[in-house]
Amino acid sequence: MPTFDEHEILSRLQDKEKQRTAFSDLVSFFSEKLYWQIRKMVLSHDDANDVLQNTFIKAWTNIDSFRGDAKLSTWLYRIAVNECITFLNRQKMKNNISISDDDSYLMNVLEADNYFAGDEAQLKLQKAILTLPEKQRLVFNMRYFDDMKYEEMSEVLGTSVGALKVSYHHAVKKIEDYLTNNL
Amino acid sequence: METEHTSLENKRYKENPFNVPNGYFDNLTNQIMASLPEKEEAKKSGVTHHLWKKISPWVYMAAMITGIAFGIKLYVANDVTDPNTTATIAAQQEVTGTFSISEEEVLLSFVSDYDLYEYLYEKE
Repeated sequence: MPTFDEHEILSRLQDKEKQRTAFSDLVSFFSEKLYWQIRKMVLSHDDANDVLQNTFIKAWTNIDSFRGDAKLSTWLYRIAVNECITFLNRQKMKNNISISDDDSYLMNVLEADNYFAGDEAQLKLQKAILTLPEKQRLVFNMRYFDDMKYEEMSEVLGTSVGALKVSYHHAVKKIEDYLTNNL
Repeated sequence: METEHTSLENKRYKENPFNVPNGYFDNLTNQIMASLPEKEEAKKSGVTHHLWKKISPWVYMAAMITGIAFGIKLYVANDVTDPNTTATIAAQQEVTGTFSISEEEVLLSFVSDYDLYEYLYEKE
């Protein structure tokens, strides 16, 4: 894993001649983290790979307008989250599902994916997570699996820390209820 | 046992249940970099779009003013028989010579129908 110096990489990104190499370093540093974030949302490996590529294409085409107001990681996470939501909405439209419905339909995707290696309990946890509304699912994944700080989540999702804490608390409650009722 | 399966404190739940094809992450950076568009093209189209965004209100405004001016000109040209506007047009003609209305036509336009009947009655 290469070391990451935000200031140094930012100055190289602003230099036209060094931009592509700098972006390659950025991809190298963040691609795996972003992949897992996306994978937990779209569940299938192939879809996660596509959404990750779109995330970096969008970042690359907009890199000149990045002024460093947020951290590069926050900016990339934000793009990834938007790409995930766009992808999931498109999938729902394709399957004639209302955008306001939860993502339970993804269970079929998960069961058909060759790269899911979880046991029965983990599969049940994924089913429980899929009963959450999309944004709450994002909050739960970021906090529960990645231990992301609420402050960072707040910057990525554009929601206050207080609201995120409440959302996470409700998510945990709903999931535990689901697990209890579906033993 | 039951609590173990229903509580999210259970460490098993925190484990990543997903995996990826062998060597996927080794080649990921190259794969992503190969999918990126050429920057020059992206930049060029960005500049054009940006420029158009900047000048479009002025272009629309200029088109609107030209349209209004053209409309007024057409309206005035079609309305030369109106005695009120004829005088103005005649005055314009003197100054600019833009309109080809003869002096006789201008004088005639000052004669109303009533004047004409009176003149014919006197003649009889």
